Amino acid sequence: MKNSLRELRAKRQWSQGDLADKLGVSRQTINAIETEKYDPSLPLAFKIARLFGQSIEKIFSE
Amino acid sequence: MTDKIRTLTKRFPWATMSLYAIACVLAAIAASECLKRVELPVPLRYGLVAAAFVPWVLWFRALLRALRRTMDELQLRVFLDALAFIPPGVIAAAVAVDVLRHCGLLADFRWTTGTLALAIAALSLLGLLVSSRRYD
Repeated sequence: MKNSLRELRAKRQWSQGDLADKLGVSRQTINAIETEKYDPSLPLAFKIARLFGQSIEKIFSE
Repeated sequence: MTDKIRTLTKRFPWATMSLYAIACVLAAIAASECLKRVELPVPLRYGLVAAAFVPWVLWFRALLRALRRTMDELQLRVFLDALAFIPPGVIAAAVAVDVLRHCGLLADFRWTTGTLALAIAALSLLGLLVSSRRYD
């Protein structure tokens, strides 16, 4: 699954650690999502969408 | 009082697990000493052995809770992936040892609780290494 997490994070000038803290997950998880090695669970995807003020479909696509 | 304890166990899951681990060891020592030194009727002996397992159950529950509270979803997945290495790994090791014994190698080798625990620990580490690399 593709996602625009890295771009969204870069726009806000957040580090992976910053985003991880805001979402309550590890930096490894953020890195794995950004490199598309791991697809987040639905609750985490909702958290990400809420944090960036966008819909899940806008951030994640097949 | 129970609410305070519950809050503490939630705030310090690993400390709780460690306390239960100490309780496990103490219960095992106490039960085995009791069985050695005191003549008890058979049902009571069984009861004593069963009672010594109670802290183990509590320890296991505390371990699961600590894992759930301190790990995020990817870490839990890595951990579960690592655990999946154990059953096939142990079976493969048992078959390999059996074959090697038939060939005349490892003739003196016997599976004991210690060797089994060692095999499980080694397979868990290998599993953690392999599964965490997948997401790095």
